[in-house]
Amino acid sequence: MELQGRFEELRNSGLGLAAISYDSPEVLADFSARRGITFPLLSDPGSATIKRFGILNTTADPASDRYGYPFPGTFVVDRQGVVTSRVFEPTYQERRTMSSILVTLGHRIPAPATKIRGAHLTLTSYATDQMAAPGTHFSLVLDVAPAPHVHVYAPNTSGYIPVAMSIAAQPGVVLRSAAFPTPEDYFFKPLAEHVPVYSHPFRIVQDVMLDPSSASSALLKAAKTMTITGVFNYQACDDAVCFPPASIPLSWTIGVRPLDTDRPKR
Amino acid sequence: MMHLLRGPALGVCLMAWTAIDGHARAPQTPAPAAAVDLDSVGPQVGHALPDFDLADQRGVRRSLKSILGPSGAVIVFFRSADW
Repeated sequence: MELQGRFEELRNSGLGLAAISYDSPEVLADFSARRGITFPLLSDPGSATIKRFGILNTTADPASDRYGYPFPGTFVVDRQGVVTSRVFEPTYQERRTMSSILVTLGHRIPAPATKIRGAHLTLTSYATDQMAAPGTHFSLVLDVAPAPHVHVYAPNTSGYIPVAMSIAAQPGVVLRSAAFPTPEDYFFKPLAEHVPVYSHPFRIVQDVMLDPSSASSALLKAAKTMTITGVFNYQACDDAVCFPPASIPLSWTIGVRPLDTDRPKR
Repeated sequence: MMHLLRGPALGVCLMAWTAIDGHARAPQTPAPAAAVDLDSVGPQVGHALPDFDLADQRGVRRSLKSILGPSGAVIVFFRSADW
């Protein structure tokens, strides 16, 4: 379970961790022993908690002996137990990694990063996960640090060239949305205009997934690694001038592993 | 160093931009349509997570409060460890 590998990090971030299923404590004890799981796996026999949460999988056949399992999902709560973030995946093969959730919440995670010096800014680029299986939903992260007194333009800015991270489409990789932080308001006196910009370090998070559909299974089965490429486009300006638009190539390589199908022997 | 002026000079920038932006823009693949709107199931952001009282793999009863750390907690629901 990927979660076990993140347990320490979560604890260092002050976050507790538990995973709930309708399995008996015996099944969970067996699973924990085989996988070396030390965080709490909680048993909800009869699915009473799953139903009370309103996440019982209603698309399952009630006549099936598997009935009672939840829509797989993750809640992040604050110390009062109030939900700050939640992720429910559309199909059961899909699973967003804990590192991806943590990065989106603004936490730092240990990951091998590439530092790139561009004109008027520095990029730190990394993937939240070094290994992924079909259905693994992880993130490509770009930490951008503009040079002193320099700003770049936020997406959807009109009249200026905004920052953009374009990822090259390729078979086996499904691209989700990219998230940008809320920009600062910049007042450009000579034109008396307000423009949304970034002048302090900011983070772009691009969500990606290895395609769990059968169309990609042969490709991903044969692949040991996947390299995802893209480009970061921007135009930097200071209080007096704008510099020529610039483009920085990006690349992330991650290992590919098969779907996790380890289950008790019958 | 070529300094491009703001405002009127922007057309120049845009042309340069188009020329260098030859990189294929990837389609943003939407999630497959599900019969259930997964955004609507379960407790929403800003709402309290219901408390629970469940046995862990060692048979110890655990509540939400017992899981919470100083910054909160991550609570994962998974299908099954059995199939």
